[in-house]
Amino acid sequence: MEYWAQFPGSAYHVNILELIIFGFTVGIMTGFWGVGGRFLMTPLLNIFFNIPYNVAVGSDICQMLGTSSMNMVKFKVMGTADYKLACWMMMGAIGGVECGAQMLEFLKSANELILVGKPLRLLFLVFSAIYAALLFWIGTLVYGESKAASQRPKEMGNLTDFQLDVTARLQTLHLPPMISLPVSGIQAVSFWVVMGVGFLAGLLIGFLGVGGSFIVLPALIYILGCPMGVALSTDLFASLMVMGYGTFSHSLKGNIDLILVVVLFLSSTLGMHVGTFGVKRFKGSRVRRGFALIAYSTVLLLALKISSALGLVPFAF
Amino acid sequence: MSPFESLLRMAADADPMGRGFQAQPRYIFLNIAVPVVLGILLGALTKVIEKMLRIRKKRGE
Repeated sequence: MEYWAQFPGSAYHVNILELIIFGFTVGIMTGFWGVGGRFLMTPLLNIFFNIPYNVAVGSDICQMLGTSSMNMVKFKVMGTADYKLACWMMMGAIGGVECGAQMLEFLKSANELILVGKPLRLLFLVFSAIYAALLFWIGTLVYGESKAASQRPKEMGNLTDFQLDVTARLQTLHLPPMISLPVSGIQAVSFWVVMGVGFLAGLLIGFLGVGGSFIVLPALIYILGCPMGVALSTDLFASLMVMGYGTFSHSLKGNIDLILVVVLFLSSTLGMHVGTFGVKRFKGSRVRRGFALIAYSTVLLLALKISSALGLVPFAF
Repeated sequence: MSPFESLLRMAADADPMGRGFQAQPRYIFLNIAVPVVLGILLGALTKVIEKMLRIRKKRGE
């Protein structure tokens, strides 16, 4: 069973069964590697299904809206979230999402580039390069982590000396206005730190379609010093609101394919549960090395895709 | 027209780079409502299944 969709500059045919298998596989990877697995969704949609990056990003944000509402029901966060913190952070995040979405729009409407005599969309080129660089960096980081994990003192968590130094500087930053967050037990923190964390997470969501939790959650715990439970609930609540805005903004720009969203959301959720149970059977260091391998393979696929578009390899990809 | 066909038409209808483009209000509404409703249903279903299978989560899971 196939469906086709037409978006500016591209039309694509997608086999629903292949999409279900793809969603299920990415779901398993998300269950295994959390945010890391989720990171792969957007570039892989472009690699395997030729879905343009603007549609992949918009549809991914729309899916994350579903995941956020599912988590709200599962984890009952309403009673434990710090709503004051969430509201301040959301203000920054919504600004970030809109900036990211506008940057995406700029790339979408940019003229084609002629490289090696071949026309290439700027959006495709920029996104492939960004994702290749990001995945290479994350893969290297995770691989290094898997080797170093056994040597590091456990009480320091996963923070390096440099990260601890940055954290301490941000916590003691006295840039007015200062705000107090009684629910999180924080007496005074600079408003700009909270807004900055939100903005950075929002920018990544709006532009790249990756969840902001991997920035927000460590920032809430290590920079602001929120208790774990409050940080989790606040992040889930803020995510729901920010993804809602992201979906609205990308809908206005026509970047969402609802069929893609529904099929991928259902199949990846099922896969995620399977992955979460499966990950318990493997050692942590093996799981991390597996992610590094997948990340490097995706970088290779992205390089092949660009080379193929430029006609540098003798086969179409 | 089946629900699948109407979704297909809406997905194919958007032409954001066309002159005077405005996304259909129904398209925007569905893009927000469908994932939220599906998420709530799946969340509730997961909780029921976990209860039935007596799956207890450890801290941090």
